[in-house]
Amino acid sequence: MVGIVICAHGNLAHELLHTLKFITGGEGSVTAIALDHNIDIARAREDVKEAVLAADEGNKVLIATDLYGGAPSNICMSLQDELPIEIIAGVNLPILIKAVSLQTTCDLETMAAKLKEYGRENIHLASDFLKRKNDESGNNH
Amino acid sequence: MTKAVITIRNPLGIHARVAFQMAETGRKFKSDILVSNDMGKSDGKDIMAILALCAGPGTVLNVEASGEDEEAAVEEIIKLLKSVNGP
Repeated sequence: MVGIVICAHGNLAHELLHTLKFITGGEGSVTAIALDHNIDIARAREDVKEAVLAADEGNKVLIATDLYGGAPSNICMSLQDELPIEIIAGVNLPILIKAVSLQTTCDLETMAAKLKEYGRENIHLASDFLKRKNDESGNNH
Repeated sequence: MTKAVITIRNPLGIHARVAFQMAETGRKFKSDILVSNDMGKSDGKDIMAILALCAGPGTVLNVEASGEDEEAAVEEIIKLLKSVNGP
């Protein structure tokens, strides 16, 4: 199983994990780390290392960060050469839900590539749905 | 192909948790599974595709499966949706 660690600003990682567990009924092996911009970087690197090593069952670990270029993402990226990880930045709930489904069936590299596309594909404008529905029914109001 | 139709009576409709359960149930089967309503047709093994149907209460949902275990797949999904609908 590929491990999953959510790493984000403030309470976001834990809130994402909380919501994820509600939706999945607790399925999956996922942990969360909160990192703030004012956190001690050496300490934060150790926290991330500890979380990754705890999550790694031998099939590597996906770290989902909130913001590419933000402190959590940068700290994780600084560990790329030391740890068996891939980082996906710009996490959303579709990515996390899909990650839980894939973590038992995919290797890390395949999983990360699929999740990058999945996260993008599942951003929608509600008005697009309405337009499509109107177009299909021949109503163009 | 095996098909079934169910009306969603749960007050929240097919919400995220139910959609996850549907997708995970679907993934247990080899058959291709499609769910559809008047919003469109979606992969029954993909939570986000199921959610995109915006299946609120009152929605008439079609469940169809094609493959070697199609009957069991439709039966399991309908059983799940009935349990979500309640008594």
